[in-house]
Parts: sequence; structure tokens; C-alpha cells
Amino acid sequence: MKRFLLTLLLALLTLAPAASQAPDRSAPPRPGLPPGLRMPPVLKKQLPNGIPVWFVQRKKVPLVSVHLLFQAGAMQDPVGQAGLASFMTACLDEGAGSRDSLEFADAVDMLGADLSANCSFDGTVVGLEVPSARLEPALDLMADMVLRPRFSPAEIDRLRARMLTSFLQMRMDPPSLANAAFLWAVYGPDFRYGTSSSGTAAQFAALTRQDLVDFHRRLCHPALASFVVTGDVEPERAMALLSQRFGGWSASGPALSQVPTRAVPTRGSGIFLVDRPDSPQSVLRVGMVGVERATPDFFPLQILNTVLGGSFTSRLNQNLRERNGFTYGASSSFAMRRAPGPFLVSTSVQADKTGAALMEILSELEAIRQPIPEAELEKARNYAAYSFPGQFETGTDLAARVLEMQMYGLPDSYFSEYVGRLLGVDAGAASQAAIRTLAPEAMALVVVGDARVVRPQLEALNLGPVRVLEIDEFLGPAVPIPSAAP
Amino acid sequence: MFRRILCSLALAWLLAGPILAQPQEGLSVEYTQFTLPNGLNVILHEDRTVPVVHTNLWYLVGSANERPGRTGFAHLFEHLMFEGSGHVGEGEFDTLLEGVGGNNNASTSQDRTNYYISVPSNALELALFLESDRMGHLLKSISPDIVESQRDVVKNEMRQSYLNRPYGRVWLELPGLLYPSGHPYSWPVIGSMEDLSAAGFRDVTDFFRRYYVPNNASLVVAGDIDPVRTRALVEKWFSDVQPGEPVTPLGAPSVALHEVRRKTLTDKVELPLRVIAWHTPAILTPGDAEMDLVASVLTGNKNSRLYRRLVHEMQIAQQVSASQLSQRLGSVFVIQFIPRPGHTLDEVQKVIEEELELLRREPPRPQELQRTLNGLEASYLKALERTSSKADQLNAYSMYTGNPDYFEEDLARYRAIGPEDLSSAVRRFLPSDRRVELTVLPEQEDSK
Repeated sequence: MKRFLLTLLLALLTLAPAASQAPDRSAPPRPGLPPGLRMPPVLKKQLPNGIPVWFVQRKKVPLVSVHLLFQAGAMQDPVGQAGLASFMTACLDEGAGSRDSLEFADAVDMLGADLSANCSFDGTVVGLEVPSARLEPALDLMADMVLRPRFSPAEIDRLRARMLTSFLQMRMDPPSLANAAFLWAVYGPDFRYGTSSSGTAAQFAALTRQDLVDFHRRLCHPALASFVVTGDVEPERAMALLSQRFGGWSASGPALSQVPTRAVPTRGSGIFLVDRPDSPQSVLRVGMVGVERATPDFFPLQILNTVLGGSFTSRLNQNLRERNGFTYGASSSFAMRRAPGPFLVSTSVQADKTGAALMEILSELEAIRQPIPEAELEKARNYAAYSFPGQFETGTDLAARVLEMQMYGLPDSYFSEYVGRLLGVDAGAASQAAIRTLAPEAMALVVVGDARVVRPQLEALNLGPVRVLEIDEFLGPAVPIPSAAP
Repeated sequence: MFRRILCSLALAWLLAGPILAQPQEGLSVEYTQFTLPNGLNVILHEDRTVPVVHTNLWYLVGSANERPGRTGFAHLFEHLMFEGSGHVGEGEFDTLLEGVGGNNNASTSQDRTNYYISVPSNALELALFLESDRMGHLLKSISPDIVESQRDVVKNEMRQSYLNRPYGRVWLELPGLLYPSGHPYSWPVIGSMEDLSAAGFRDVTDFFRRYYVPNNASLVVAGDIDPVRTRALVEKWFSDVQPGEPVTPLGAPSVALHEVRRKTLTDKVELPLRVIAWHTPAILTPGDAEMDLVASVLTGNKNSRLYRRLVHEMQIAQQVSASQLSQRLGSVFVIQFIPRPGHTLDEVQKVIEEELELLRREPPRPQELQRTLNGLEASYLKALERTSSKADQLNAYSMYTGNPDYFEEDLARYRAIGPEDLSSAVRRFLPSDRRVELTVLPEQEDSK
């Protein structure tokens, strides 16, 4: 009895607002006004020696991130030494200051910190994330890593052997092979973008300790440096801690200079096949030299790429995946760097559909040069613009945005205007950008798959001769792994 | 690729993995919880850092609920959930969400299927409409053609993620070696090509009616919300979804290995790989946290025992990693390793045996535990910084413990562990004579 009453009462309470009435599902609920982007203010300061320090404070969790950017990276690798920036960067935490490699790692781990260095073509970033209470000892380690790396010969040899083994493994990994063959086909062996930022095994193997030490002195240089501090820390405290460690840092020689903009090679189109017998899928890369980060077409190309292959409902994914079932997914991207990085379409398709999939890709690349219908354009604009505010959630999210501002010299108002500029892209701007940027007939088509199955399909496309590439042609020869001195 | 992720063993571990609170602070996550009359469990959490709302919906069904002959079906079904429902045309689910700046995806593991949507907060109601429509009205729109096209997509997912990937077949073979035939974990989540081909339209309707019912689901709405208004919206959109028969949680007989089970595969790889695997305690049961710490002491950082000796000092391994893959009906502990060129699997394994034996005999130093705990504390803070990860964790804790805000208790598990507990766990759970050893050899070495 009691139980019955209670249940009845509860049922009445819970059912009261909605009752059993079904909601009106005849049309999807319309969204209200989109929320604005609340870009938090960036506070700009300088260390005594002039190194910029930019802050965005956020006190949600007791974590702080400190990123140190150097405006130089793999693009500054000397000719014949591709991979030098990457190798140097990897050495920084392998022993620094008073600690050897394992002692250094232990000190970082005991603080619960993440501390690592990474280089891209345009820049090198040493990044720290640590619970706020442990910022001070963590900055000591960061300073050792940047200012006092040991470059111990034993550690260099150990890293080299590990990296060369990775190069060896890459030769059996289909997506890695496709990426490498594509870059080689588009940029050739001489332009730096023709290999990944890690370079090639042969050039990597020849780098010496002296190369690394010299390059470190010129890359990790105060004239190229700037800090980004985000998260739960008072700017005054962070400034004091950074000044103690980096404020007296002065140059010992010239910094690396920006590579003068060289003409990017224009290599002809072509079909390139890397044979991997018995592959159940073919890995495809289709593309060409794209645009630089400073392109005036930046915003139209964001929208264009969203329509083409930058979202789930994009044309490439709808066509190859949803309509044809050839693949688990297809996408496109522009790598916008200081110099024009690649535009590429990426997918993996079942082997027997390789030729059909390539035809669909080429037809989408042709079609995207036509004006985009308004409904499709609006969906893409909204997607790109209104998903953007979500990219400011965490301290490391904020750091990534501010680093982008420093790296490419973006104005203070850039991110506040970002959403509006995306929404302002019209069909004319998008198709003009497509016509200026994308030329299907000039693109390289790279296939990593079973030649026995794939080659007849490629030849049947009548797109020109199929060039079979040996792995050594684009990755260079395999380099034997030196064994460890016990 | 960008969506419909399949939860491999390793991914399942990451999703359900342990995260720890800052010891001195006792962190917790505020939430409101209620149950609709139809049985839907609802958890609301407000976090207004950015103007985004996340819905995270768990159905308590995964590959473990499949029957032999239909392996891979839970995941195939997951794909069908994006293809339209009673009031949403084919393709409109994604089109509507992208049109407001939203993203969505899902993942399937052995134990659960997880759907999530992130939208700017002005479009919260659209997300609730879409989630409730596919919960209440999916079958009105699914056709055999849709099943056919997603079957092709899933087969290509299997090719891309397993068959055309170096060492990928390890994760297809391991379940059958670890579990007896018929055990719910004895097949991989992705299933087999044959079973994917065999799945029919009838399977879809049966599966939906049995498992995709509000009384077998848990919804988290987290982010830039007003909890009172959000509760009213959830009630509006989900209250008329009809409940189904109660779903009895799967049980499984306890499993044990009685010998070393070995198998060797060949693959297009440069270097061989071996996985050693043991049965270990289920997620959040006694012993589970110990095994997480054992994994970290063995390979969690540069100074961990196996990494330090094999990769750093002796330099005879390219890679070695250990992990506790926590699952509801029983977990798996794996150690996998790849020797350097010029060195052999057995040479590396000999060192692994020595280190396991050492751990069985002598407890690790307190420093080794502390290093791991400090890293886990920080990773917990990072997880709390991202609303989407909080949303998923609230659902995970709710499902596995009944308490969505289990963050502090989760931490307490790890803090209570002493060095001797780890030795005892290794003695008990990682015997050298009862386990699976799965080896992958480069194809050209077939004959050796």
C-alpha cells in the first residue's frame, strides 16, 4: 500500500511537465541565435632581453601550459641534411643541465609534467603542461632542455638507431608509403617539402653531433623565441619565473634566417603506383602544390575544403563512402605553411574499386570548380564558423591559437573576426579560389596497392602512363641499423 | 578517419581508463541525475567555459551481446544509427548537425555503444531531437539498401584498420586465443567478413527492439546548459519513447588458461612482434587498479623497468608496451614488443621474464609508484578540463559503479595500493605458465 502510493506520487511528479504528450516531430527544432566567440584577451609582455611573453589566463583546473616557440624548423634544414631540425629537437630532453637522459625523464615524470619538443616545417615548439603548484621546478627543467642540452654521443647514437628502425618500418606501412611517394611526386627531391619533416634515412644517418650542436645554437636562439603562457597562473608570477630563467639569455652568434622564398617546383601530373602485393585496399593520394598560409584565399579555401572533403557530409566522403561504399572515409586538406604546402585528397579503397574511386575523385575535383549551390555553401559556412568557438576550451587549445598568431604574425583581432570572415564567403569567392588553386590535370595520383589487381584498372582510365615506383626512389635506400655498443 | 570509430581493445582501455584526482583537493564533478518513467537514466552537468553542449549517450550493448554467426553486428548497427530515423531523412542527421556547426560520432566496444554530439549551445534542442528520434523511431526509416551500403563501409573499415595495417590481425586473433568458443569476448568487436555478410534486415529489427530501449541507456548532457531548462527539454523529447523488456546484464563463466597457448601469424612487416596476454580482474574490481600500476611500472615511462632495459640500455627492442585492458566481464593484460633488427623475440622475451620474476620476488620502490601516481593525477586534471571527456566519464562511472561522480573513489583505489600489492598482483595474475603468446613474423621468414 505504502509502496503503491509512493510510486503514484513519484509518477505524478515526474510525468507532470511532459505528460504522455508526444512532441511535435514534424520539423527539426530551429536553433536560436548562435553564441558569439568569447575570445579571451591576450596580455602581452616582454622579458628583459625582449623575448615576447603572451598570456591567456584561465582558472578552470589547476594546470598551466608554457610553450616556447622558435620561428624556425624543418624548412631551415640545410640541403642534404633533411631531418636535422627534427633530430635536434628530439635530442633536447635526452639529457640536459645536470641530468642525463633517464634522470631528466624521472624529474619530469615526478612533477606529473608533460614536457616535449616538436618541430614542423615552420617552427619549433617546446611545450610544458604541469599542475600549477609545480610550475617552478618544471620551468627549471624546461630551461635546461632549451639552454643546456647535452647532446651526449651515446644518446645521439641511441636515438639515431631508433629513428632508422622507424624509417625501416615505414617501408612496410601503406599510408606512410603513400604520403612519402606523394610528396616526392609533387615536390621532387630538391624542395624541402618533398620529404616529411624527419627527412630520409640516408640523410638522417649522416648527421653528426657537431651538426646538431651547431644547429641548436642557431635555432634555439633568443631572436627567434617567444613564449605563450595559458591556464591557471598569475602573469606576474609567471613573468618573474621566466625572467629568472630566460631573461638574461643572450645570443651567441647569428640565428637561422628565413629561407628565401624559392620558386616551388611545378612537376607534371602523373600516375604513380607503388606495388604492395596482396593488399586488400589501395591507399590513394591525389593532389598538387597548394597555397601558403598568407594566401588571400585563406577563408574561401576553408569553406571550399569543407564542401570538398573537410567534413563528414563533404562531397568526397558522401560519394566514396556513403554512395559507393568503396571506403571507410575520404577527406581533403590544404597544408598551409610559409611556402605553399600540399593540397591532397586521402583515402583507402578496396582494391577492386581503385580505378572507379580515382575517377570519382577526379570528377569531384572538376566539379568543385563550378559555383557551389547556396544550400551546400551555407551548411559549410555554418559548420566551419560555428564549430570554431569550441576550439578555445582548454589551456592547450588556447595556446595553440595564440601560437598560430605568433607564428604567422596574425593581428590581434584575427580570431574575433574569424567567424565573421568565414560567414562572409560567397559562392563567387569560393569558386574563384578553386579555379586559382586546383587544377585536376596538374595533379599527381599516387596508389599504394597490389599492382596485379590495380594496374589494369589504372590503365583502363586512359589518364596517361602508369609509372611504377620503387620504394628506394622516393624514400632513398634502406640504411642498415648500427647495433648498440654494449 | 573521422568517424564511427571502432573500439579496439586498446581504445576501450583509453576510454574507460583510470584518471586520478589531485590528492589534496578531492576533485568532484557536480551533476543532476534523474530517471524518466521509461527508464532512461539522465545526468546533467553544467560547464560554461565555451558555448558548446555535448550529449553522450551510452547503450549498454556491445559485441559481447552478439551471437555466434553474427559477430561484428553491434558495430554494424552503430553505423545504421546515422542513416536517418522516423522524422529524419537519410543523410539529414549529419546535414542538420553540420548546418549548425555540430560534430558527432560513435564508438562500439565489447561492453557498450557510445553516441556523442557536440553543438553550439543554441542548437541543444536539435541534438536532443536527433538522439531521441533515433532512439524512438529508427526502424521507420531503415531499409535493406541502407544495411547493404553500411556493410560495405564496415568491411572497408576492417580492411583499413586491421587487414591492410602492419600487425593489424593480432587484434583479430587474440580474442579467440584468450577465450573459449562461445564466450562473449571470444570474437573481435569488428567481427568477421563472413558474419558481416550474413547479417540481414531481420537482425536489425531484433537488435534494435531488444537493446536500443531507454531502459538500457544513459544520457549525459554537459556543457553550456541551464540544468532546469535542459531537464524540461530532455523530458519533452525522450518521454514518449517506449520502454522495452528489461535487458539482463550479461554474465559469463569465469575463464582461466591452463597452459601457454601459442600461435604464429605472418604479415607484411619488417620486424616481428609478440603479444603476451593474461586474464586479469574486471574493470573497477579488486586487482584492476593494481594491474594498471603494474603496466606503468613496466613500460609507462622512460625509467619504467622494461622500457629502460630493453629500449634505452640494451637497445634490443624498438618498442615494448604493457597495458591493462579493463572490461566489464574480465580484463586482459598485454605486453607487446618488437625487437630491433639483428635481435630476436626470444632474446627480448628473456629479459621480460627476468623482470617479471624480479617483480614477483621484490616489491617495486616507492618512487616507481609515486612517479606513476603523479602522472595520473595530472592526466585526471586534463580530463576534467575538457567537457566532452567529463561527459563520457560520468557515463562510464554511472554504468560501472552507479555513481557518476566516482572520480574521488577512483583515485582512492590507486592511492591505497602499496609496493607489496604489486608484487602480489604479478604473482597472482601474470603467471609464466598460463598465458597466450601470439607472434607475428615477417612473411619472408615463413620457413623459419
